[in-house]
Amino acid sequence: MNRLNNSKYYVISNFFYRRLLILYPAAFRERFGTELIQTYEDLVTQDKSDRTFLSLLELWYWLLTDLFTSVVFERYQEWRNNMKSRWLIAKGFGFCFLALWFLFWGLSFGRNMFHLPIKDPTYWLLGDQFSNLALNSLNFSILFGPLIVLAIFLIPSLQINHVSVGNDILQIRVLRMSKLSLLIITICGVITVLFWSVILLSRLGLL
Amino acid sequence: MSDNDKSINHFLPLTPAVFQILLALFDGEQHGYRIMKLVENNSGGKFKMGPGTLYGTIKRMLSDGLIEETGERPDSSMDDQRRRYYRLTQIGKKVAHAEAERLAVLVSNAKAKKLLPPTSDEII
Repeated sequence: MNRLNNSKYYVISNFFYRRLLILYPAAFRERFGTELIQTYEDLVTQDKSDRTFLSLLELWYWLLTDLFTSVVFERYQEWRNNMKSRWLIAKGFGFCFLALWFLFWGLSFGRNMFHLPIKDPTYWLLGDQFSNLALNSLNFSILFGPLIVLAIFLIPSLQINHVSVGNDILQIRVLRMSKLSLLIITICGVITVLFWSVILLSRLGLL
Repeated sequence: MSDNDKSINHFLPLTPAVFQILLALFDGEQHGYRIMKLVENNSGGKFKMGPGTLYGTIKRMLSDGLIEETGERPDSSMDDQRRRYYRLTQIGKKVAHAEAERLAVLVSNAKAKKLLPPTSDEII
């Protein structure tokens, strides 16, 4: 195999790696940009005398996999940190939404099972002259509501890591959270599984 | 359980990347590329971290207080002065010890179940 003595490959390679770093969040780039470039240069120049075009391509495949996965994680981390104060508001909305969800289903259940003398909650929420859009939105919120609330409470506690142990693996960790958040996540998880199981079984004609 | 133990257990179990970096820094301060090579060598080439993963993990370890950047720069004749060096903090050392103990218990359980062969010391 021909040795890669032509320095133009290194110049092009260096140029592209520097440009690709722009994909990282600005704060990360400012803090670690120089080190990333330096480590890249160390990697490219190690065993330079044995470097072939194929081995440079191989290195680039590995670098690109690492770069794109770490860019996704750093962007996610940045978004999560920026959302910190907003998560509290989102959780407040999520909590209220869940309470309304229970109220709606409580009323529906009471009306249908115990023949309570109350109006159908759909009419109660939308009025007598409701549009299809309003009804579809209500149906959507009934089906996906608990799942959305689950995501609102779970996402701030997720930590994602990418590591290579033999093969590349994606590691998702759930960080410690308050007991209330855990309770809401559990309730929403159970509701979602039950609800969607019933829908799936009904669709299959098993219910 | 003391507050100190609680704060250490809060980090456990460590991700493989974090534990490997703690191990690489156990013998002294290192710069990023050196950490990368030490991790690769310590794992017999099985564990490979790219620059993005390495510095992403270093960023989180710095904010968790497991490692710190050393203020000193190497002599320009010895090394590139742009390099930043990292070392373990006291809490980082304690967390590494706690994780090693946790893994040792797992390994001893695996040995008790004969999942692993006994070491030469244990045979004697």
